[in-house]
Amino acid sequence: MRLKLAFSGGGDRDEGPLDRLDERALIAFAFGYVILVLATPIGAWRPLAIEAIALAFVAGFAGVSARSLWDRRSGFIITFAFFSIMAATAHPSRRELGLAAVAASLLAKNTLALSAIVALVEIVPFHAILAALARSHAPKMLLSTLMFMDRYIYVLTDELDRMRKARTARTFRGSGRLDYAILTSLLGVLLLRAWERGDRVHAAMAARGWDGVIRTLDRSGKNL
Amino acid sequence: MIGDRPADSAALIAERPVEKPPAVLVKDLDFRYPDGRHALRGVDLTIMTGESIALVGPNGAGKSTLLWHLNGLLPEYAGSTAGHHGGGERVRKRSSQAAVWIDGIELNAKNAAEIRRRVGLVFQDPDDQLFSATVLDDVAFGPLNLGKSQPEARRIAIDCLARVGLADAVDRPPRHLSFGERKRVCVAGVLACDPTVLVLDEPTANLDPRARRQFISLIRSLPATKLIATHDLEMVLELCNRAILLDGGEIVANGLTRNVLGDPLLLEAHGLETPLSVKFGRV
Repeated sequence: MRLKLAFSGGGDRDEGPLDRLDERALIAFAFGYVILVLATPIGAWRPLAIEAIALAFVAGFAGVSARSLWDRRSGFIITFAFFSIMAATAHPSRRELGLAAVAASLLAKNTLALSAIVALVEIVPFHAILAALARSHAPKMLLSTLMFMDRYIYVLTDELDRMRKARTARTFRGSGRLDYAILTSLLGVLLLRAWERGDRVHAAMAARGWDGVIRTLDRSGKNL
Repeated sequence: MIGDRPADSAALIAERPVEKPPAVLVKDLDFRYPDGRHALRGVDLTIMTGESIALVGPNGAGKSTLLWHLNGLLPEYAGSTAGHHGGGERVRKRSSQAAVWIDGIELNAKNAAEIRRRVGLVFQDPDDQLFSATVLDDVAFGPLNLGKSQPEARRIAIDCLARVGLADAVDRPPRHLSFGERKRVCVAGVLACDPTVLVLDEPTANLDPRARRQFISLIRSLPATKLIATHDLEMVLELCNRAILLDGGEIVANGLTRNVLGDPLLLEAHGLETPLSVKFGRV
């Protein structure tokens, strides 16, 4: 299994009318939608349903398939379900609505919020999102972090995938599945390798005159 | 004259003696990593302008360490690199004398930026070098750091991508390119800084035969002085007039490529093999 990354963007999608809009408008719309969803009260199923229909309509209008939204969302669903249950146990609405309703409501809200962000990165390539954020005067540190994350998350997941395969090839058990002890040791090794790579990336940047400011071509009017 | 010089580039050029200094001069360079490993031991090296030199040797011989010194990455000369690369220290036998000069300019903290402009270092793994969101942004990174204007940096980047045959890749993210294409983007990124010395670390490692051939042709077409650290001895025979054999941090042979690579006892003693084209008398 390979992790399908939520911000990989630009899948096999036909261009829709939203592609012609300014990226900043799309980002503002997406974040506005997220705030609206998060502000929706727990247990308010009708507003949540309307928000879900609105998102489905916009995603369909933009040519984003439900399948691609689900594919990118599915990697997080177990984690989010766990956190929803944990949060629901301490939520004040639990007495009134019950644990299941609160947890389901929290899960629905974060599903909609994350789906909106996934739809955004499906419509707008990640580097265009970065440029639009730069035009919107987003903090430089945030932009640099996002840029490096977008660039190296694939390199690191590929590395983890190779290590996992190598380990599986030497795991002589019926299911061939890795247990958590092995997986966590792989993650530890990956962390060390990421550290070393960070050192080399830094050296490569210094070799081309980096002085602490990441300068990029002006699609934004602002350096990262 | 070799010694302390001001950082200003124009002043450096004006002060240059009539006789052109070597493109690279390394004198008695010693370096020890923080873990105690003595990576370089009294390395002396002179490379004249326009030369194409191979740096060969077994793994752990100190090749990459030497290359990083030429670019001022080891030890940390500029403030921006402090704290990285695990530190390390140069062991000076004569503390008043510098160890590395590029085009007659001493490598020190004051001159590190100018040295890095003059020495273009192509890393072995392109994923170490290409960090930007798009290919164009990455190639323009160097020129923008050199103070070029936005339109000029864009023009230089597009020109350099055209030189390496990737003019149509400007807006692609580096991860969407093949390994060979990424290597060529790395070269474009270095060429964009207009270096006088090109230093390549294992340029043909992990390339398939076609990409290797394309990359060798590309390296050959570049007019800069070249220092190539590699295990690809066939490429050395094609590209380099001189070969330096490094082992255990020491230069054990330095001579014409044919002489160095044509000595099977020397090569075997230092973990290398005679290239097939030499063994079968094709060279």
